[in-house]
Amino acid sequence: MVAPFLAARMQALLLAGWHMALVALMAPVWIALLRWMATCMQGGRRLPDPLAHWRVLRHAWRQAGVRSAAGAQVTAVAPWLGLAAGLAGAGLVPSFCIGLPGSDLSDLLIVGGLLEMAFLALVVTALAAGLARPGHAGLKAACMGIMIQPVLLLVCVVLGLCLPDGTLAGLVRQAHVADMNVVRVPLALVAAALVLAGVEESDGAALRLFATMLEDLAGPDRAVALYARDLLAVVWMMVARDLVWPEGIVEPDLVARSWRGVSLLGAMGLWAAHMLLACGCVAGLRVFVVSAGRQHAGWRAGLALLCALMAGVLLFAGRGAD
Amino acid sequence: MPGCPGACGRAVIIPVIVLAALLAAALLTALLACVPGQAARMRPMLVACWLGVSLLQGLALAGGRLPGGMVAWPGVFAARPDLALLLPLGLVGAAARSLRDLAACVAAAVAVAGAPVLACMGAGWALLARGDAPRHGPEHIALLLLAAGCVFPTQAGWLLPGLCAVGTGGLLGLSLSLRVAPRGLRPFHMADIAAMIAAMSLWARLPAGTAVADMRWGGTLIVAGCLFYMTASWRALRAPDARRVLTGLAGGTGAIIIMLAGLMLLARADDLPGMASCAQRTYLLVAGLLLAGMLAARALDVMEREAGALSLGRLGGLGVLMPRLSALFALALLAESGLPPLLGFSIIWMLLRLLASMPHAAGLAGEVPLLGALAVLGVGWAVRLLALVRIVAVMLCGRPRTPRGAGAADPPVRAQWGVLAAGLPVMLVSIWPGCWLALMQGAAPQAAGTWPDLAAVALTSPDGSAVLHPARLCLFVALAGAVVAVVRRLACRTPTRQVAGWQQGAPVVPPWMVFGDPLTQVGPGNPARMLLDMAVAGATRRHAMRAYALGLRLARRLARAGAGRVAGAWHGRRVPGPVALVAACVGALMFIAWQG
Repeated sequence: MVAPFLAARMQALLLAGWHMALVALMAPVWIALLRWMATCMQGGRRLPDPLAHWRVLRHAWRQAGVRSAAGAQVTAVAPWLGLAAGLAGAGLVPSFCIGLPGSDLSDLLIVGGLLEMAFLALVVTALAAGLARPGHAGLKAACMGIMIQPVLLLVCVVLGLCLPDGTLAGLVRQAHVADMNVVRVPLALVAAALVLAGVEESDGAALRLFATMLEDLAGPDRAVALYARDLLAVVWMMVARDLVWPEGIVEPDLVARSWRGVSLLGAMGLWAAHMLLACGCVAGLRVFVVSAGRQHAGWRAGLALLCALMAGVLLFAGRGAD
Repeated sequence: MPGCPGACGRAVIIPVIVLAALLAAALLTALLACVPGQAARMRPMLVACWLGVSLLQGLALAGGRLPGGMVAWPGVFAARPDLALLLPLGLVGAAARSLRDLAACVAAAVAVAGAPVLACMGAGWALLARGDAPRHGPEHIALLLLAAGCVFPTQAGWLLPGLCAVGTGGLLGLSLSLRVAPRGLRPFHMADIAAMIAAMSLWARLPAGTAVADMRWGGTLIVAGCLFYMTASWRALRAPDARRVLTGLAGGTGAIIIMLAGLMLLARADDLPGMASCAQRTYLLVAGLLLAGMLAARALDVMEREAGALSLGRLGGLGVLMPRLSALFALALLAESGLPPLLGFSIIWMLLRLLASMPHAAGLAGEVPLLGALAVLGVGWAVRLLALVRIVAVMLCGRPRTPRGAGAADPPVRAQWGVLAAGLPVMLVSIWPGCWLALMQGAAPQAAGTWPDLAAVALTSPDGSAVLHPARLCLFVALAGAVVAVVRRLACRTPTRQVAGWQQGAPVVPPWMVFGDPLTQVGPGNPARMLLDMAVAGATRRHAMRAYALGLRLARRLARAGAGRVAGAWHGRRVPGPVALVAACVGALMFIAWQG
């Protein structure tokens, strides 16, 4: 009895380590590809450089660390807190398989709350020094980013109606046994709402604000803050991907069947392909939807709220018709 | 909860020793009011009395046999399960410092321990103890009618939820007003937490009405709770000082209490025991969240002593100047915020599941109100989070704005221990809510000496399909934090240079303003303005404000003209307030007697 239990635990830990390494290493790569796609959509012509953002992070890390003397202790801690919350969120969102140690905690409200906490830690980084430009930029970013809360509540209710337990792992399990085409459109709308409200890369103005927030920070703190922001965007995209294509995630059983390893590799390839598609969608949102002459700050939040409401209405209307 | 069947008719029992401790606390409070010079001697005794109340009540709830037996006075004291709120109240009483706070705690104890009539009197006393007595006329009248209605539940049972909502509105800080002027929004003290406990006790013992009335009142209370939550969050965002920000946050908690009461009424009307049980557990978790308010109030007391007045226009940089106290204050704010992993998040999670499981009509028409309520609740939550970002940005981050603020430092170790002790209960409840729920529900231990509910550390949704493990969540977040801390320690070997960053191209500051111009950093007025700019463009907002002011002036003129015509018969004389109060009470009693 003990040996299979231990083997299952070891397998879960192994997969969790692999999942975290994959997400952590690929986060800057996805961001670099996303920016390249946005540049291409805006008319730029250059070859993709997947490691460009890693180089930016390495350059920032190697610089001498500089902090404003006022609030230095807070500045020293806040980006790392953001990184910890972002990593905790990333650990809960399945990438290529389920059955990881924290899969029963993969409730969307928990994931969204952790990512929101990471975002607020980055805002506190900008506010800590008490400087004018970064502080006001941080507050503005907080005003824009905080509107994910109503979207998150609506999304959780919509997801709770589609699923018994409301977790992402439960969604994947259900996708393997039931036909998801009935709820595909509401789930796609929900994913769009989360990407619009959560991913700053989908808004040029938010990106500029973030650059202003960190302009007085240098060294490892800056590198960590940049990385945490990239991780946030990637985790939100992963959540959206899991909502739209839950069938692409497998349930691993390495001990029982040897050929499952192949399916795991296939799931990883599928994850990469889906993430590329998600990057393209976000780049498209940034170029064609959010920044196309609409400079009003509430546009993104309003659009996200509309998507979430529409998802609810579609789901309920479908149920009423049944 | 307003769902316990036959709540008024249960056996009336209170442990003698708890009653004795309460009486001793009341006596000492009265003595303190009469002999203020002896405060230093009496304070430890008061703290011991209140801690004794909490401890003894905890023991009684855990199934322990207390010495002295029980008092059974029908019509005077409440039944034993209803006394559970004495547990948090004892902790609040032990943390109370001012005379007003202590008086409010005694009043709340009367409300919790008394039978319905005594409870209403205690709630009225708590209103008076909080101050601003002349402004609570409607609440007092409603409490009086509520007492009469509780005595004759068959005649006025359908009206009781409405009377309770009006009567406890002042205690819970419910208001639809968006004004944050000092006379509209009072500063937060321990007395407010005691008042909220008194209000929770009143809601917990509301007798059952008819199913149709309960259903209507339930829906009304849920909608009203969403609106109250949003307006309270807005007041927290606009409040001019830290205590008033906390008043706004407490108003949001009060709105959650009203929503839970509404959900409970709905569950009772539709006979849904799973939903009723879930709502009751959430209600008890909200009682635990009040302890986060206690921690924040204790931290603010010490901050006020060390850094001066808590006006947000004066404070700044406390996170560096007093790091330990600021960390505890930030912990209380995190628990209030509703972000994982602390207690506020568990409450939001349960509330969301409760709202989703609410009985409703089929199809789109039945679901649209739910979507609307969730959107309003979500916007309220976002504004509440922004209010917390604002207070952290202005108080804990940035630079000091005044010399007094710049001279602030962590208090002596003894005071820090006091604040830390105030923070322990909320941390325990956050990590292990099963223990808190088992205690508050009065679950007796089994023969083997184990509690059945104690092992159940998970919170479940009304239908039991969704499960939340707060302890596991806390452990997971702590693990991620520990990993990052180790990476930081190993990777960041080179020291980081600190540079003065206040000039930013500005001219040299005068010598008396050693920390630079305070106006260049984020101020308390910025977030609300940014949020308004995001929702409506500035020019449109100005037009709307002008139209609103004009409409208000016209309405006032019309009302004055109408009132003048009506009052003309009395030759312009106004009826004094007390006379109107007595007349209203007599009229209400006559109405109840007539119905009987």
